[in-house]
Amino acid sequence: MMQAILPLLAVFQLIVLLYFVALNTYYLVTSLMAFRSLRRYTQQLNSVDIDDLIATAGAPPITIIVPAYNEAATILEASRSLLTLRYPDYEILIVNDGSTDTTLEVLKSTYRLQPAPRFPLAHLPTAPVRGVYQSQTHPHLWVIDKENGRRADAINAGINYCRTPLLCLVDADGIIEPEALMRIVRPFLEDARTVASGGIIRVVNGCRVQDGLVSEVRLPQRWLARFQVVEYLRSFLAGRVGWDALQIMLLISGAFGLFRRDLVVAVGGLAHDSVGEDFELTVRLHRYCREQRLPYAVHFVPDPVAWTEVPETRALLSRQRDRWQRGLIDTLRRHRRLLLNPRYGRIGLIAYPYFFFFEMLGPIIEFFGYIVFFFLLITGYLSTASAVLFLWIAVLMGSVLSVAAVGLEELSFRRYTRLQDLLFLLVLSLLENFGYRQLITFYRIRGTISYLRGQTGWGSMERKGFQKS
Amino acid sequence: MIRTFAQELLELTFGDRLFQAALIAFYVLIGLTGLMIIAAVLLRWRNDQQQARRQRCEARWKARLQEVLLGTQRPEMLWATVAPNEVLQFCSFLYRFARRVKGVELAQFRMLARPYLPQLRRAVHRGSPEARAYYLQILAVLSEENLSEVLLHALDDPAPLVALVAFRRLAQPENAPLAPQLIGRLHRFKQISPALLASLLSRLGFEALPALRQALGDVQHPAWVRAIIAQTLSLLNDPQGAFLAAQMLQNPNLPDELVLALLTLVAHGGTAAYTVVLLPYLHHPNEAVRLEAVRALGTIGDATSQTLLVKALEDTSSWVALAAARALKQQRAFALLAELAERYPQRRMLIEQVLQESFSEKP
Repeated sequence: MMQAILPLLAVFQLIVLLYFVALNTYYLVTSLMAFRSLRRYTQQLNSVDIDDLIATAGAPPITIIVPAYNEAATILEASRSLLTLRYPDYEILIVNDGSTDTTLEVLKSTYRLQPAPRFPLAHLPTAPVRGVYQSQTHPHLWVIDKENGRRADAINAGINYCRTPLLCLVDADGIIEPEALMRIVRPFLEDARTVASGGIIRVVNGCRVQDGLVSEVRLPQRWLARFQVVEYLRSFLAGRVGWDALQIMLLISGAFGLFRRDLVVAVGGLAHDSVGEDFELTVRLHRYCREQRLPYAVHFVPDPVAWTEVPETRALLSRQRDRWQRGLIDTLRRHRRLLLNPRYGRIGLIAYPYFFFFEMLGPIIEFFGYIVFFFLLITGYLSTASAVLFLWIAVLMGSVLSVAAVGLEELSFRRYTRLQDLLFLLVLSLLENFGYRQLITFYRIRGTISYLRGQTGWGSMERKGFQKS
Repeated sequence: MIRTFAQELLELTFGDRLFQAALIAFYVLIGLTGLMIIAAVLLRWRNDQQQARRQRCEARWKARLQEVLLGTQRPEMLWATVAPNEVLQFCSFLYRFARRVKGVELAQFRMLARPYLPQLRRAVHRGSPEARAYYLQILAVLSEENLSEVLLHALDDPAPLVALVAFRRLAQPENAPLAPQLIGRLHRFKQISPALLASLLSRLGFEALPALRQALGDVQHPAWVRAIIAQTLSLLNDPQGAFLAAQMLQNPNLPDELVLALLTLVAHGGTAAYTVVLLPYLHHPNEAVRLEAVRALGTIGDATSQTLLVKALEDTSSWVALAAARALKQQRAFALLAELAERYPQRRMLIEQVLQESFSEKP
């Protein structure tokens, strides 16, 4: 029996090996592109005076849409950070998505909200709106109170009330840096084809926050959050900067993304029935523009920073990754037409296949790879020397990419100013391959199973609030 | 064959070639990881050193600069603190202050930069596009001489970034005679936001109006260039440009992007006499065109145009209806709006919103 399946297991291990080589080659290419791109970008920052650029271009008005569901713990800091943004013409729409906590009351009392007439200019279907309020202390802050839908539903309600050419999606648990809006709008000024641009998301856990501003950047106290710092650096600095350079930006994070309102309305807003609505929206925008033959571009700007609170417990992390994986699979299934379809250019030939083979199927291959690997090792069919060697190669490949991401951070923005933080990040880059990576793979496998079972919920994310200085 | 290879993979021993190759890969990866860690730490060390050195230099220059600006020290005292390898850094230091001042203060900074301008000029022609653009920007601020030749030359730089910096620096009132050259180079910036280009061109000021009007009427220019010119004339509130726009709008075959810009121009520089030109555009199939026509009508129209605006309030597009309500408010037809709110329940909230908006809100 064993002799019969052994060749199959061996072939499977070969597939796993090839998968690792292909995946890491892909990451290596994006990292190299990111290196080149970041160097140029940081140099360009010197030659372009953003203030002057905005002043000259007349600053296109922006509406910031903040969906909020049970965000009483963070909504004040988040809204304060939005009120301190340095941008000449913007409006904030906080959409209270039927919160069962005191989110609305906190907003009402802090900003002296009063009911005000406001006509929806688009008609994306949403759960009923209960009331529209305008702040008496900050007239450009509005709150839309609606019955509970989902995050996508809340954002769509905000889009309906948006009256500016650009809309910015921001999470209620995030903190946006004062210059962030100025920087994220830049692609819209410098490239008239731009339909969406995204900014970098950083981990706020461990940082000190005062009056809606991150006053001191520190690494988190909890290990789980620390690993996520490296993960975020790799994902944004090595990943998305590289994608931008290759013009294959298929994902703009809803935690901080700027979109052209008319196009978002034209594609029907965010999908109500998707848990990966940010990804789905970006893919749909690509697809729409390609199918309509519209000249367009989706950009990533590496320095506008949104800080977000990441899960610090395994239960919360598991729920988050489960949801992300379900959202990913759901979006890829909806847009499967794109897979290796030359009609969609680089998106169909490079970006979509990456998500399909590496992000969607990757965890499955990796998970079963581990099982077969240890099975062969325990049963003695795999020599210990080979096992140890290949295991180390896999670990080192992952480490090289994470260390490269930390290096890119050092090369460009250097937010972690203390030497000990840098050294610790480098250590984390090595350690994350022993346990954390496997844990994430496991959660993603669970997400895949949840998707196959038809689970569609969001799960809850408890907020502990930002650390005050 | 794959099976055999896979089988071999399982049974690797130290002597196998594949094992040797994997071992080499392992060593390479260890080396690479180690090198990258060392590189990251060295990078931090180098950055810290550079930052400390820069801070030391700037602290030294800042103290002297204050004394020179106050007139208690001679400029030579400051120049004496600039080492030959610090010239570009010193220019960059001066630029940070100079870009925020004008008049006598700017002249002082320019005087302080004077001995270093030749080196700065050389820097404009070498290095990466980003470095060239940066030094061009500094040179344009710190040079007392007319740099239009250098900047015009830079407009043809192969790097769009350098060309854009040159364009921005040239777009100043004193360069109004260069308007035709700037318009002629617009094709280099097709991807840049039209609003940004129009805004830059408008900095040339009123002396550039004849050249701009001529370009607007020149059918040799592509529609998108003429649309930018029309936007520029709108920013300059040019009545003659509006007259030209009204004439052009009588041609029903213009591309939409040009029509939109011409309608804006009519709104900015036109009079009630041009209302008739707007009429066909109130029923245009493109929502954006109808919207702009209603806005123009609201701005230049008189009481007689209110009937048209009331009709526009029934437009299928909420944007057009909103613009119509705002236009009526602009014409101070408050009683009419209140009456319309009663007459059209579906537009009631929209009208109430408009009535509550402050006049400073953009229609």
